[in-house]
Amino acid sequence: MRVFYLELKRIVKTRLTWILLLASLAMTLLMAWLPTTFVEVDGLKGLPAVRRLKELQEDTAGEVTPEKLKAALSAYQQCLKEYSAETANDLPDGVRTRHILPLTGVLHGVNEVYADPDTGIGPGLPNIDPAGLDDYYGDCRARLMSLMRMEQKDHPAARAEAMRLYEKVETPYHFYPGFNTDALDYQILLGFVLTLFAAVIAAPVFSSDYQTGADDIQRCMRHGRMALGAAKTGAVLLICGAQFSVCMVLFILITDSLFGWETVATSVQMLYSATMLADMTVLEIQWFTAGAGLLSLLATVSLTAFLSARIRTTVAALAAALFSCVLPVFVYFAAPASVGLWLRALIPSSGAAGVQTSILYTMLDYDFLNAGSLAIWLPEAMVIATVLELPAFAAAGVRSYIRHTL
Amino acid sequence: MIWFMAGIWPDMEENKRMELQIDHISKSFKDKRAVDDVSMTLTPGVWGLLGANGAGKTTLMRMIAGIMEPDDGQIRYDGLPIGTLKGRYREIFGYLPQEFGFYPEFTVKDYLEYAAALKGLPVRDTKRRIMELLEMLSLSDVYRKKIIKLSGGMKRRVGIAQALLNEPELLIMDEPTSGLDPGERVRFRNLLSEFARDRIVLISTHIVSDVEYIATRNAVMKDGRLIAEGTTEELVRLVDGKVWQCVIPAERLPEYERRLRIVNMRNESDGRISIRYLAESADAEPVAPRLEDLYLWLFPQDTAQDAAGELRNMRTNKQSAVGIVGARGQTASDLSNDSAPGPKKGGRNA
Repeated sequence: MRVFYLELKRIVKTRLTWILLLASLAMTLLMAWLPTTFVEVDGLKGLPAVRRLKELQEDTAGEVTPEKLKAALSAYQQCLKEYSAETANDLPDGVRTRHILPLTGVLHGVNEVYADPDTGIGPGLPNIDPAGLDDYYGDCRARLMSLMRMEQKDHPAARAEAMRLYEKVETPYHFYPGFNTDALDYQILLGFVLTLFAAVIAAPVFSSDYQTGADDIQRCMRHGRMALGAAKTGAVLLICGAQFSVCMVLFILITDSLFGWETVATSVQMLYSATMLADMTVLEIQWFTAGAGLLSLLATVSLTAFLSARIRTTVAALAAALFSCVLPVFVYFAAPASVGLWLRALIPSSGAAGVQTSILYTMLDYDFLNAGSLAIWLPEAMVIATVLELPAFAAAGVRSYIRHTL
Repeated sequence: MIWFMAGIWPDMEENKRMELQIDHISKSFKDKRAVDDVSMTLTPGVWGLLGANGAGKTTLMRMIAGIMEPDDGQIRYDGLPIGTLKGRYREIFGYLPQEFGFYPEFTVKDYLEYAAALKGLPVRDTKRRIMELLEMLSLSDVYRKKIIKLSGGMKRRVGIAQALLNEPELLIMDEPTSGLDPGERVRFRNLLSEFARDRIVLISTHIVSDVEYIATRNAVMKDGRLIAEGTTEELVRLVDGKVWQCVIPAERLPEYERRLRIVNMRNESDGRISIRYLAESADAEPVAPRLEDLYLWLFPQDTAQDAAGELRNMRTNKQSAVGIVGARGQTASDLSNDSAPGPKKGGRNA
């Protein structure tokens, strides 16, 4: 424990660690505030715009019942009719703000649910019969089924698993206006930056000792092998984990305070796809993204410590660590579909790296790992993999350090 | 090995005789044999390990330190292989490598506390021991300074302090005096002499005078092999009658330099030069040899003489008590009596 404490103190006292920890904090504050600046409503920008949007949409807040949807769609279509407009874009700005904007939040997803089952193309709100929304949530299930037939044509197990997951989603959905998906994008981006910082902090943990020769002395000391190896790995995991946790908690607290705590009770289906498989509110997905991101970061740090124990120079260890952080992005764009999915599940940094490859965006998709009659939703597989990889890489790193000889 | 297989660990205390046995160890790197079948037994006292660059001293020390595995052979402490003693061996071990690596962010205090924790020193003893060593090594004034900001000599002393923290039974130091000024070296030698009572201390150095004064025994390595072992007096006897001194005119120095293996020269007040040189025989004043003379005899820089050949020659002539070791553990008597070319005969006062 004493070795662990001293190792912790040593890493924290390193100038690079301090700089990165302070930079993490600064990034958190900046990135929590930035999404509010993107909101523009009725000539207003930033937080006043958020407040105005809430005022405009407050009548539609709460449960998204089929009746509420029907009324909103009817009002939407009535407005277009009154102004002889084919689409909302044809309306004058003031009219659109007063009559259409209050409805767009609650009508999010309606166009998607009634998309053509074969082409996936939405009909457009003016062309949907409000009377057809009586069984809106049944139609959501039907839409998911047709979507899964397209996405997982050869994998009935995946289709069944998707339906099983969706059955758990609470309906009716809830909608509370004001929240912005930019805030979730920025949370992912922050997670990625923090993961990169963590990799930079962790990369020298063993390799710098090899490079400077400090290792020669330490491994001749009584606790210089197993205990020191474990202390180094544990300390770097604790520091990076604490850095990520503090920054994420701060980010969520600031973001939700700025947008309003009532807004985060919105169902994720009201922000993203209406048939999204996760049974979560915005607040829950924020915490889930943070938790999965933390696991991903810890597994990445664990992998970095392992690489550091195997590589003799700090620069090479750092390069390997940073490459492992961006690898999921390459895999996402370059690897063939099924191989790419397996790789994304297995690469520890997948949950935190990039935007498209992040755990949140993976949850927006309908990707499954298929093995015979088994199918597992990719985000679940990613979380399970990181839980297994975290101790595995940590142990492998300590073992490599103990066995390291020049 | 039965005790190991049965999970029964013999108590080191029971077998205590403080003896490090190096038993036919070898180590190769790619095509270079860095250590070649070295055997010796280290007993309490200061041991000097001499040899030119690349002789295999550092590799041997790293194997003794347990940070490098020998390809062949075994190292045992009090009869037990060090690989199986693990933490218990490291507990009684102190090591200062040639390159003293440290964390740049550490102060002297941070570093020694960190090292004390790694060495398993109880918290209550740590501060006292650190203070003792700081005092002993004249580091008290820089206690709170960052190591990176210290002079080379001070850094080296911090390295020495960490090696001594746990009052090791077995202390290995690779070039401990490099970077120390003459005063520091003298203090270090005195410290080590005092410390080495009832302990095994092995130091490698190029600075022969460092071991000459304090080493109870010396081992000489060349090309990975242990070529001689003995007390300083025994080893020095090998060059008895081969060290000469004379005074020459300054203008004839180049000629003498070409002909003789000069180990020292000094300008005299009358414009002439006093030279000390090595030769099988000479018409000059013989002087008492020192360990440095032996070192230079064995490791001539400008000639391709084979040191083992030199020793074979000496052994033949001297029949001394010193242990002369061949590549495969032969003693001197096993070696051939082929004479190696020695320095040519020198001249007397010209």
